Amino acid sequence: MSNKNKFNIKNTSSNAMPLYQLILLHSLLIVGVIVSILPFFHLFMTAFKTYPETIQAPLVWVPKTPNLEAFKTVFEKLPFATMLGNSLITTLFITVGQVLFSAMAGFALATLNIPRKNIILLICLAILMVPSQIYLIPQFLLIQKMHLGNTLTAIVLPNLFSALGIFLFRQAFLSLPRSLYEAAVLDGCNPVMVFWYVMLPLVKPTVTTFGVLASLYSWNSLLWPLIVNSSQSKYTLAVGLATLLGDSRTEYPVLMAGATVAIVPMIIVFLIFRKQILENNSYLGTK
Amino acid sequence: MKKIKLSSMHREEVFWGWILLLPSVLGLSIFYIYPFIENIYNSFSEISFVGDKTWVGLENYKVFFSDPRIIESFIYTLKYAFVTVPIVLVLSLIISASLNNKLKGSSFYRFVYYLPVIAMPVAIATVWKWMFNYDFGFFNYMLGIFNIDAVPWLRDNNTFFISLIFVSSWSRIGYNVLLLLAGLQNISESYYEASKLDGAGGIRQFFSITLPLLSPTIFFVIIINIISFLQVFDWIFTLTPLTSSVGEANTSVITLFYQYAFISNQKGVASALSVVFFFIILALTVSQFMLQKRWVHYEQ
Repeated sequence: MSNKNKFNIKNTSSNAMPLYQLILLHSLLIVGVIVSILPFFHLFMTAFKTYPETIQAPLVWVPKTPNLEAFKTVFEKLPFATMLGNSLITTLFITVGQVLFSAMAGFALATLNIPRKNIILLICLAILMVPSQIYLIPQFLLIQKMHLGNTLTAIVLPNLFSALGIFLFRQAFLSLPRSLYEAAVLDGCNPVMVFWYVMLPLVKPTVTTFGVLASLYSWNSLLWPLIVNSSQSKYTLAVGLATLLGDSRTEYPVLMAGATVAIVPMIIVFLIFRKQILENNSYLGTK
Repeated sequence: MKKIKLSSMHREEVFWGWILLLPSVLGLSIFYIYPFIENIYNSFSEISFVGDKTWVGLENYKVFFSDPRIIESFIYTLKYAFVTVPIVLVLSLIISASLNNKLKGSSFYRFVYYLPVIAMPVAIATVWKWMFNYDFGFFNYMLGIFNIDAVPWLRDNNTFFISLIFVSSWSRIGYNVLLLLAGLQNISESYYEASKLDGAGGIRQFFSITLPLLSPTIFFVIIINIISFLQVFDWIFTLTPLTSSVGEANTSVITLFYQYAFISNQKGVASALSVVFFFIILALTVSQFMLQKRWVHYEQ
């Protein structure tokens, strides 16, 4: 009886929204969609325009004859291919490093019985609270002292470690029962083998979500690669674009061809992993 | 016998545990904990181009009162955060509450709203610069259709502030929508069913059920937004040259920090700046935590 009642109420509540309200909601959300997409639309269109088309009085929405001139120019004017390569390499290393080291530490903190391990966790949380600029100058001086200035290693090295990652992986491993670990140990595995073969495959959603997050952070970051490297051959895409943007002689199609190259890879990553990113709430708490 | 075996197993567990912790403990110590301490020391030093330090006592902190740009940048940054956070919060609340109605196409909406979050700020700034252009940009073109005078978006100190708020809200809303949606989905359906029986409408439900039960998430969203908006750098850096008159009138704490540290090479002053900035963020966060008792409702 009570079950039937509940069912009825639920049924009416999901059908309760009148049509005019539904239309209102959707039109509101579609306005949001337009605002979200409009810059991307103009970006991709402008990359294929000629320069006169970008400064014409009645706005040109779609280029008359799409051309690849701007893409050619951007790869000739700057060592753009090198920058693309630099971005790919640094992002790859940073992502793998952050995921691997954070997962290792997160597992140790969650599953293993290590005396005073909570101090490490507290320090991680403290690091998260501090605005990242605090570390910038000492990190910069440190890199100079290690004679790593102007190398890709300089971009990667301080970013291999993530307090946030440790925290997120600890939370993920906490949801697995310790009996899994104990059973594997009794079967003769050492803790590192248990971590690699048994536990890590079980937190795959966290590996993907945090991995995408780390690559996004690395790919898009500007300030650190900007200050630590000064020669064009060591620039990342973000730094290269910033110099293009700072040069007032750069024509819009060239700028946006460069920007397209910088934005599209992350959109592809997002398309592939959209389910995990949009539905996994484990990264509540990222900046 | 068994006890000995257990304790040797435990010793092995501790040993391997530290092996697993080693990279992170080393890395975080070298690149985060030690820099944090060194930064405080640096704020009392003069640092030469090659990195040699001489102790100068409070000299760097005295600059605070001699360089009006510093105080102005703090006021500017606080103003920016306190205008932007409510705008972003209200818009994200409206969107996420709408999406929570089990609408058709909800996952499409979430996907599209999240696109601005993943876009590289420097890259998307190129298109914003064009859209905000005075002579042939998108916004003035649209205004022209309605016979409204062109606005000097990025050329005027005040309209630049508005453009900056617009762009940074645009890039941030999708992320907040996701956080708020997660919070909304945790609210039990039964509250709405019960209130419906009592005759409450949608608006009433939103203010008497949704908002109070969502308040812990809202609290969290406010804190991380304040912290991240106070650190505004990328958008100002890309939308205007820092040394232009508009750039100077729109100097945030971090753009000024950048100028001191890496342009005029006064790293000591920059360190002092970052120490003060750290304490301001800390004070704001602590005061938020103290204020939360008044409005955040934790479900028992």
